[in-house]
Amino acid sequence: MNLDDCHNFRDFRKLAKKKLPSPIFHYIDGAADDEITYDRNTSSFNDVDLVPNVLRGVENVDLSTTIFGKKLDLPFYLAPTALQRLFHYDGERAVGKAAQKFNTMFGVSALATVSVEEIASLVDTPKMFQFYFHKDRGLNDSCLERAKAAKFDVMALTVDTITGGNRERDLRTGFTSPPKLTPSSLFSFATKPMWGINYLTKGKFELPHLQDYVKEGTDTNTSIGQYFSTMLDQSMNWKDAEKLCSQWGGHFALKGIMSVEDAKRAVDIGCTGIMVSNHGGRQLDGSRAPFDQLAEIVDAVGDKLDVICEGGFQRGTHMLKALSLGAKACSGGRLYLYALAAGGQAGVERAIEKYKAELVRDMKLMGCTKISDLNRDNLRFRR
Amino acid sequence: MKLKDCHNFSDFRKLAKKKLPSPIFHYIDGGADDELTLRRNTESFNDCDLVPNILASVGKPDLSTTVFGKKIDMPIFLSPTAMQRLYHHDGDKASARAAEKFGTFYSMSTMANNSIEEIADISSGPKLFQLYVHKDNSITDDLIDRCRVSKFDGMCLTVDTLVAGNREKDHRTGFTTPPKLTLQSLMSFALHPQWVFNYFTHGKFEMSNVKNKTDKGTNISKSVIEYINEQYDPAMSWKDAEYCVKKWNGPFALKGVMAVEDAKKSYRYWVHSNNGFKSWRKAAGWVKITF
Ligand SMILES: Cc1cc2nc3c(=O)[nH]c(=O)nc-3n(C[C@H](O)[C@H](O)[C@H](O)COP(=O)(O)O)c2cc1C
Repeated sequence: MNLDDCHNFRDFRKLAKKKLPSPIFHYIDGAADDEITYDRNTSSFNDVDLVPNVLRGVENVDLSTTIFGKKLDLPFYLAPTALQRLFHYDGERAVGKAAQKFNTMFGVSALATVSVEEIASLVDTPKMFQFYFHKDRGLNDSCLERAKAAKFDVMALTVDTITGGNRERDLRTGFTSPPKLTPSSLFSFATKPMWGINYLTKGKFELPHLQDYVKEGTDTNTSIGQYFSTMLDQSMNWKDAEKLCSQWGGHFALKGIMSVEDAKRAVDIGCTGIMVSNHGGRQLDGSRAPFDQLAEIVDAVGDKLDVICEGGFQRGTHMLKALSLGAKACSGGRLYLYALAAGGQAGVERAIEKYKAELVRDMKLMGCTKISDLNRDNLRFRR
Repeated sequence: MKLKDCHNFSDFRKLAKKKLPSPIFHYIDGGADDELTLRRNTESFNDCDLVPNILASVGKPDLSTTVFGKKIDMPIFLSPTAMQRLYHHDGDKASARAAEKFGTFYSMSTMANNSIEEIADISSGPKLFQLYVHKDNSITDDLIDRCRVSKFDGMCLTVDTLVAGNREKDHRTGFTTPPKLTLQSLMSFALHPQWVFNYFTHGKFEMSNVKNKTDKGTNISKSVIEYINEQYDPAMSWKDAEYCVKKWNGPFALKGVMAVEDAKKSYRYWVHSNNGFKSWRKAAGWVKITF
């Protein structure tokens, strides 16, 4: 199986599974507890049907949308995800360059494996920095200042990881970062020699945003759950978020909002956007799916800030549904992560190309030529 | 597979299945008829989504709650279950000690293999006793008196087991208590020598709470179904429940209330007959698990 054989989300996932040592694959692929929320994130799209209009002259489709004051050529972007160099040795470089090629946004995680400075030198299209609120205020200031100096366009504060989710697949595979060789994982690493060779020969694995501050940043093997539970500040509250927002002084978003009440407060503290998200089902299993919760939130604050629907997207039609409900844009992680593992920058580009082609085709079949043509009249809920 | 490989409910289930002779595993694992209700009990949680709030300065959450007039450290406790010595040779002692360690209720079944006194001896944690109304009134009285002497904190009367449920897995595996070796089950017991060894070397198997009152409690291999049908009084009525409440004169719950009407009735009886039993009202309606 090659990149050429990948036509959709599932194909990329399959190829990624082939290429990655199993602890790493399951770190991407897994979610919390029984993964019920994770499944619902995608299956929620199937409870609503698209109702097309015909005979509208649809030869030219414009997929562009504007969020955080930036015009993007696509109505979806690449969510910030941690540790990308574990998935492919180019990591964030590959993802950033692919996003740039299509003029869409991409997020760089606080747990990125390439520095914001290097990313800024490679990519001049819109960029988001994803911020974790650490106990160490020096580390927080450093992250913020560096992202600001590197001219990142948006800062997103992740608010749904106050403690580590229960990722049971990671418990079983013993996933840590950097990868630790245990007897049980050794076999899996040994059967994927190409991954091992690349990992060891394409530059040292680091977490450039953390390494000056913490040992977890570099050589000690830490599980992600441990990182969340020990390094992040669990007393984080609205005051902290508000302070951060003004300290940043630019477009600021809360990533992981679910309740209407919180969405309204985000407006009050000066946010210009929110991601309705449950962290890809990786934190609170049993939590509501972004798409299920979207309408309520759009109705409450959609005219005051950019509401982004995040998670579960595997198809262009999923995005059309979220956009029809009123999301300004869609965002996803696994959407491009499997493709990154499957083929680096070329893989991510192929994935974006596929979703873009799907969107164009689906827009035409819906009788729409621009994103603003989409609205709730296009949708019928089955219940 | 070991205990340290168990991260969740289904892991523990898997390991239990490995360790137990199959008639015993299926006695725990099975439900009635087609097990639709057994499945629905868990699935029902998935028909509802949680909507989290963020940036709430959570720090350390306080999980404590108050039931039966007792503050417990976590909002879940161990329901009474029969014959725990079949599952592990430490039986109720193990679960009582574990509950005490986490500051929550341990519950003792009428059909426990340890006596009320034995458990009171080893655990000072919060304790609940689960009562069945026996045809022989003196058994019921005796149980209530002993719980009072042993300072149990609350009592619950099981009201959904007037007749035994149709546990088809038990029919198939030939589950009886004490375990009877039939040709059918012999294989499975033979395949779990460790269990058999522990079972025979860690004291006599008995239903300690009723052993003096009925020979059914001890030697004769009875299926649980037969036991229930012979010993428990299917004529049990609200009057009997009221009798128990008065006799116990402390926190008291009905276990297995489903209809709103019955929940209300529990409350009315409370108003009529007692003034001090707040937890009866609270408890009615939320405990719905059979033994
Ligand atoms: C492997 C992986 C790593 C992630 N790392 C981060 C992270 O470092 N910071 C963050 O805010 N979100 C992180 N996320 C969550 C994503 O930003 C996004 O919310 C999620 O992937 C959306 O769900 P989807 O994968 O179904 O699209 C991560 C997700 C995955 C799958």
